[in-house]
Amino acid sequence: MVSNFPTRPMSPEPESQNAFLRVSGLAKRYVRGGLWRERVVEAVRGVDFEIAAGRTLALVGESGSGKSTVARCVALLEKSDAGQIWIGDTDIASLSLSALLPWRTQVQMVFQDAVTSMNPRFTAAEAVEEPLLIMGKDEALRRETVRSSVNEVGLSVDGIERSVMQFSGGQRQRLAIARALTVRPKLLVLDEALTGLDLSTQGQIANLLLDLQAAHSLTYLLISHDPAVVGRMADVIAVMAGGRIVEMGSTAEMMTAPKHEETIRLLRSARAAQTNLAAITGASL
Amino acid sequence: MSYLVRRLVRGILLLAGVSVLCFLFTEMAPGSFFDEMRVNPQISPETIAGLRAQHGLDQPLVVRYGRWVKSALHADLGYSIAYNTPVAPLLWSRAKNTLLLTLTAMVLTWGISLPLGLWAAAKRGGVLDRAITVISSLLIAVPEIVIALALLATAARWRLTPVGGMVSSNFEELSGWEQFRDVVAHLTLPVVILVLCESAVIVRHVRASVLEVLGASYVQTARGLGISRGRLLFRHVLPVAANPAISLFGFSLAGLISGSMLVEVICGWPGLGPLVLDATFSRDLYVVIGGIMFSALFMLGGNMVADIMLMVSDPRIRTGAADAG
Repeated sequence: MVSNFPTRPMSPEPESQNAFLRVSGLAKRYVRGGLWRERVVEAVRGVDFEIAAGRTLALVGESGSGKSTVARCVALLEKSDAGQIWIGDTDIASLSLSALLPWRTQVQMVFQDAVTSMNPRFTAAEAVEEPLLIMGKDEALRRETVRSSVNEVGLSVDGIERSVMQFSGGQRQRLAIARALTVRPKLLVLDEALTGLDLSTQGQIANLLLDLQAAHSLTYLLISHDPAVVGRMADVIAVMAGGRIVEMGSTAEMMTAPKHEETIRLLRSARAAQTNLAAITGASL
Repeated sequence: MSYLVRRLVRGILLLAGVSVLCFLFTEMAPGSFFDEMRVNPQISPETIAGLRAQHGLDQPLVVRYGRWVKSALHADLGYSIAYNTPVAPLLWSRAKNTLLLTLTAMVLTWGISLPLGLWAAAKRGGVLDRAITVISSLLIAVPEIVIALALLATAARWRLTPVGGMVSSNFEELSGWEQFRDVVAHLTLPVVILVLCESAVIVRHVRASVLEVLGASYVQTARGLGISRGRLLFRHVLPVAANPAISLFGFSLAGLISGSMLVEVICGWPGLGPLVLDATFSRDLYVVIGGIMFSALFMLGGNMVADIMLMVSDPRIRTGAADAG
């Protein structure tokens, strides 16, 4: 099976000991409280993967497959029920809340929804500087870091005193990336960060992320259901279904010779969607 | 400032609209204050016609409305046929009692609902959240009149609070402090009924608003950085969740006023409710219209307070940025 989706050029294979993030046996379940009976949802059931420093691993899968739960556990927004999340020699999943504090800046998350990713009461400057404020940094450092981060994501510092509500979706996503960069993270968890943007903006943000990765040796955990985005940005793809990783391999392998039926199905659906889009675009011309 | 002026102009136009509708509906309603006199053989049709002319009821609707507007501008709101007095002073003497009941119920409703809604959202799925969901569902499902009658029966059966009226018969003989306690005791039952009925809705709204903000990505991001609970609550959650709650504040005043009319009648509280009900039965039209106008005025006052609170709490409303996308 040959894919139509462009893939990222292969970079040299990382050595295993160079892994920045190692996830092992990760499990997470939710207890949904009904009025009379509780329902247990096994969202993630023993997930293992690793990402080398400066590389991108994409987690793909249909809705409910557990990929966002993995992302939230890695970003320390959820406490996993079992398994380890290693950054270097430290299992951050086993740390207490207070011991976790220094690690929180190392992992930052960029969400899908640009509208709810910023406090609507804030100006752009306030939204970007918030992480530094939480960390108790002084005003001069905050101001300087905000300016450099905003510049880095291709926005002008002249407009940062405007309300975040006055920025477009793409600009807000750039602000969200700038906010993440203020704490100088090593790992960015991109949870559908390119979804919902128009194709042109999506391309610009993808380029920005690739440039930032090259400039800062950032490691990315990319959550997406779009093979075009994944093919362009990821070094390794892991396909999730039913809370487990069912297939994992290099982007080129996964795009050209998928083995698991879930991977084949995902690629086939994406290709059908692409064909439909082309047909609609063609018809409208 | 222009925001408040706009709201004020809108409020005045709304009051004008309410007055027009009141006149139209009372015109369409069957019967009049003098209908009972018609069956009395001792009162001649000429006398009745004279009385109608004296109160201007023989004039066309437009003329009567014009006269009423003129009277309203002189703060009279027309003339009560039954009480033989201008309507506004009559209503105001009762409206003070309604305001005492409504404002007390409002302060308690929000004082209870706000922390409960916040707590339920913060402990989503917990025992308290489930208890609040079940109890508020019951309170919303059961008609207000049933709750009022049940509590009235309970209070009367177990002599928990005084039932009926605003003060005891020996009120004048009591000292200042005892008079205060007496009013509070009489106020308890109607306030408890209003608070129970209104807080069920408000708790659920506050819970939903807070949950929506807690689920927002910027809250997740702040949590991911280890923000303290207090800071998260006061910097991110409360300011954003406040907008729908403040808007609801204005509407809740309207709900409490309409609810208080019913509760006043059931509990014998001497407010606008019993007066307007009696006026409706006796077709004392200007008292009915005046009662509705007072209620509308209270509601607009509540909404105006809510607008000012929104303006103070949300800089986007002051700068007009809220509409920008």
